[in-house]
Amino acid sequence: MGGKPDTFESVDWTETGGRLSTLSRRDRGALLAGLALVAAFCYDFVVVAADQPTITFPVEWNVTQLDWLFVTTLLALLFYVVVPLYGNRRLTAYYWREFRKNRMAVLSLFYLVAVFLIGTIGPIFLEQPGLALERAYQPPAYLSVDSTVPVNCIGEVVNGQCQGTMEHPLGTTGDGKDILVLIVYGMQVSMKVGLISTLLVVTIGTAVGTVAAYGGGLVDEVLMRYVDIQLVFPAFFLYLLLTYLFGGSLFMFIIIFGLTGWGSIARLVRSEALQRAEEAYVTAARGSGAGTLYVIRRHLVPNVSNSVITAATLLIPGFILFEASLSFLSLGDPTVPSWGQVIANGRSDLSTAWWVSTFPGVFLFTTILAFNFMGDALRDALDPRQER
Amino acid sequence: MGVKRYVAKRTLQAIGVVYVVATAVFVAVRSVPGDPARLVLGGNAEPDELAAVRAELGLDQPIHVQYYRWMADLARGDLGDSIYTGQSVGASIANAAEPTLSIGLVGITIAILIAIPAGIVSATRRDRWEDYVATGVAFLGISMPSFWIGIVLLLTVGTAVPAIPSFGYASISEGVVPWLSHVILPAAAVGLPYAGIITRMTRSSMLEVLSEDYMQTARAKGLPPRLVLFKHGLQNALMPVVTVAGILFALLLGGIVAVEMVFGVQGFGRLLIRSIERQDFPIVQGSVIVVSIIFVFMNLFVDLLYMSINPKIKYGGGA
Repeated sequence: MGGKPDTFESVDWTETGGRLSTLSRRDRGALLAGLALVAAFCYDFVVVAADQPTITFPVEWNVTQLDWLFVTTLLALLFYVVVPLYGNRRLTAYYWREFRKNRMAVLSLFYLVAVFLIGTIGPIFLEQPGLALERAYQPPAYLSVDSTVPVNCIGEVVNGQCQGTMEHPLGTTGDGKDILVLIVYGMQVSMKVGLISTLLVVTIGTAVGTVAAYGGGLVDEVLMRYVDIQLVFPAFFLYLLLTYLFGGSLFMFIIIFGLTGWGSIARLVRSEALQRAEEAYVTAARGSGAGTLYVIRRHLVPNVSNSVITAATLLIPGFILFEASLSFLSLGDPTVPSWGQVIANGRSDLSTAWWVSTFPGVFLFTTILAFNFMGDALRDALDPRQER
Repeated sequence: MGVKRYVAKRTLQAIGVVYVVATAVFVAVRSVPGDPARLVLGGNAEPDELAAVRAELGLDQPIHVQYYRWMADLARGDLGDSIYTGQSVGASIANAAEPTLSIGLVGITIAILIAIPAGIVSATRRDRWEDYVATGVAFLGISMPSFWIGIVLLLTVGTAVPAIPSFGYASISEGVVPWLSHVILPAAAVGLPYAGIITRMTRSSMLEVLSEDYMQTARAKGLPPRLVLFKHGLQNALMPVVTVAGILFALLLGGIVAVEMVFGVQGFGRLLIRSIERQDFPIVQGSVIVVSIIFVFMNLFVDLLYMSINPKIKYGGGA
């Protein structure tokens, strides 16, 4: 944890309070950043007109609802994953040693970091591809296709074969959009879908699970029965209905799946919390006068977080897959170029222009595969009790 | 709590969920900007037409009367009529159900036939090449959306094997062979991701069981290894697998909707998507409710099944 003492002697044994004044440096940082974000949001909401870009320097960027959520997610990741890992190097080194044993997982991590960075930064500099029919069906670089397929071939025509050019390294779609640029935009869509929904799910799930475990009695019963109900609630079809009524949007997708998908996390947190509450260190903390809030914050949440992070990593690919399937059915957000949408657009051209569906498909597949590999490796690394 | 009370409680709970879904649909439809009559007639309807439809749908009544009527119709199984074909919603859904059920059931069968043996091999031959192969294939299955597997199967198997038609559906009344040949590819497309998940679950659950004391005891007694594995091991290992089957049903259904579009099957998914495109509002609304009911009772069934195969379970449902 940020600023957490590393050695036994330097632990502040008298610290047991749960008031704001005893918040750790990290929590204060997170609070400050959150307030700054809220202020910025209010500025965008109140001062800037809806159709005006929020900032014009260094690039023109009209921050949308989704962008605000995404920035919030990134801040949460920074303060509750990156900072603790950086602050507690010994533990980080231990995790890394365990994690490194799984070479596929390390590869997956690097791949995902690359996808994340390119997807977050790329769209700022790349213009969203528009309709350019004169550039339709260009083959990928170093490949060629019968010259009757593209309307006009940008590259050279050799023996009746249109050659791909580096202008469009992965070719173009039937409406002339560059596939590489579409893929970069799709990375951002996938990351937003996966990370924001998961943050919502983890936050609500942890809160409900902890409250259920500590509230006990009626509170526990009501919350857990609600979770039972929610787990069998078909959110997919609720989304279909809402899409029909209000039109598809990525924001709605994330909200619906985020607000209805936290049941399994809540169950997990509750059962772990009940287990941990019996541990000797919790009894010891309580015996030295620690309040419930303090125990939850300093003992419970950190100890439960390992299982939660693992479960969350394995939730991300599910959200991404769902979004892709819906976009494929043209029930997604028509304004954002997600991978599923590009795959669907290229499906009728598969016999002539195979690259349109194939490249986004490959990226979708590798991204989900990487998340699955990572989740599996995290489970092995973070949970020392589990037999390997 | 006794068995009967537990079953009663769970059934009531299921009915409660259906009630909540029906209410949610009611609220969602009424909260659309504009009015539902416009949804029915489309954008450029005449005012008197709108008024007529409004009266027909009971939209001129106060909201609590509408709500009561909505619930009463539902309780009678009356979901209204399709705007496009005039057929009742129930009949439209029933007509489209056969292809979807066929794909689903064959898909689950394929998944189980692949997954359970793969999971067992993966656990018993752990960290050997068999395990790596099974795990690798399972990861491939988990990481590909059904529609993508469908497209790939269509381009490979569909074009290479002329005996397997790559488009449309043949009813089982036309014979088992044409039916199966039409269903096999879409079923494989929805079944493979399912198989991946079940393989992983069987593996981890089997590994856990293999390290239990009673397995050691059974082996020490000199029972044949096969008997120990299948009777003592598999029976216990499959229990957690059964519980997720209900939750996975959602995944399967979502997959079928997309796969039907790939293979041009005139099933429930296609009906749903086409109704959304055609603005055939009663069908969309009815489908959401029908699927929710199936889904909820499917889960109830799985839970009760789980209870009956696992004598250790407490009927409290809680802690």
